[in-house]
Amino acid sequence: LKINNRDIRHTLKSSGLVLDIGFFKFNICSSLQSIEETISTLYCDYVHTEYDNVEELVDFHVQVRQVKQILSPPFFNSQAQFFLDNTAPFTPLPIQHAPAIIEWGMNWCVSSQINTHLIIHAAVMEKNGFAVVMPAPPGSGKSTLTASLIQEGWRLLSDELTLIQLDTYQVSPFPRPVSLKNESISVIKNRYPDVVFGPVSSDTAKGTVCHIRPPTLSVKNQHIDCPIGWIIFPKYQVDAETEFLPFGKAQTLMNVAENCFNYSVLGQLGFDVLKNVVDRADCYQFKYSNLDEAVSIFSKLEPPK
Amino acid sequence: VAIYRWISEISYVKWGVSSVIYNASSGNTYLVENIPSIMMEKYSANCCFNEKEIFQNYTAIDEQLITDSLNSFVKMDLLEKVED
Repeated sequence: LKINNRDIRHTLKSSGLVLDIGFFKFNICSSLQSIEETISTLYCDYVHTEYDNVEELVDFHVQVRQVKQILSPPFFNSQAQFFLDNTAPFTPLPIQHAPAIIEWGMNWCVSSQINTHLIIHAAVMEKNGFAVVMPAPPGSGKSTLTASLIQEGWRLLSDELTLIQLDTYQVSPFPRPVSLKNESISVIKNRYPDVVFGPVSSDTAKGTVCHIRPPTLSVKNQHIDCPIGWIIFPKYQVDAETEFLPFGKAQTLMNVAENCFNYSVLGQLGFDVLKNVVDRADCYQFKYSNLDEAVSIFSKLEPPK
Repeated sequence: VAIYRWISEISYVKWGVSSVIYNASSGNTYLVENIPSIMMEKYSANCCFNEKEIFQNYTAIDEQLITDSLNSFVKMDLLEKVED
């Protein structure tokens, strides 16, 4: 059962709105208008159902609530806080950060609670049947590159969390809105005017944060798994010449392991999965400053032998 | 002659001159360079072996490289020196 956008507000305020996102079901409750705006703008292509009408198990029950600190003065602005199963794992943040809070919170649910997959902090996209995994620390231009590539025909599997199956070593898609920060927002707005942006969260710890709606086709194909063809470490550097160089597999394994959320939890199994993934993939390091050149290089990637 | 004993369960993968070793007992992962393949292939938990045996059987491998590899393995808590 799919519900209309006009019912979203009511559903979010009552028993909750269940979103099917890849492998998971999230039940979301909130009375905040910015959360309603986030859901209706960024998640309109997902199957969403009233919680009362869901027959399967829901994986995560999340809420973003307006809260006021005890003993805070009357002029103190109210805040927003993320809850999982009525427990608040994080301190409240200014209420204008609510759109970012729900996205960060949903990422946290999967990265901290799920061990059915090896989870890498990495963007992942697919083209011609193979996935490219891009592990990178904040500030490396990963999300800007991802936002560009998904407008150029790549299928978004995830902007933040690469979920690798423990038996097949394939990626289970978890396509979510792509998070852009600061200058990247205007870069993508100018380059792709048709991209749909969600509400802006200003003055967060990461600066200004805004998410973009994933391509409809990526959401539609969110249950199609994909083998990994390439592991690429991107690095954006102002005025840098484009460099796309092979990267050693042993060092790749070490770097990817450092970017995993649950490598140590999975122990031997985590190592075995990573060993197989890296062995089958072509590995590169990539430095860029020009998005046109970056897109061109990715379009020429040959499937691994 | 130094006698060593493997003290940890390990898994490893080797690509070219680089190997990644996973110590299942500690959960640590190590990247090591230029470890002779034979050093890894000889691995078996609780198995003892002596340095001289390796020197004699694998004369093509530089003795210093073998000694360095053994010392690395000791530092990684993979091996212990049983006796000198």
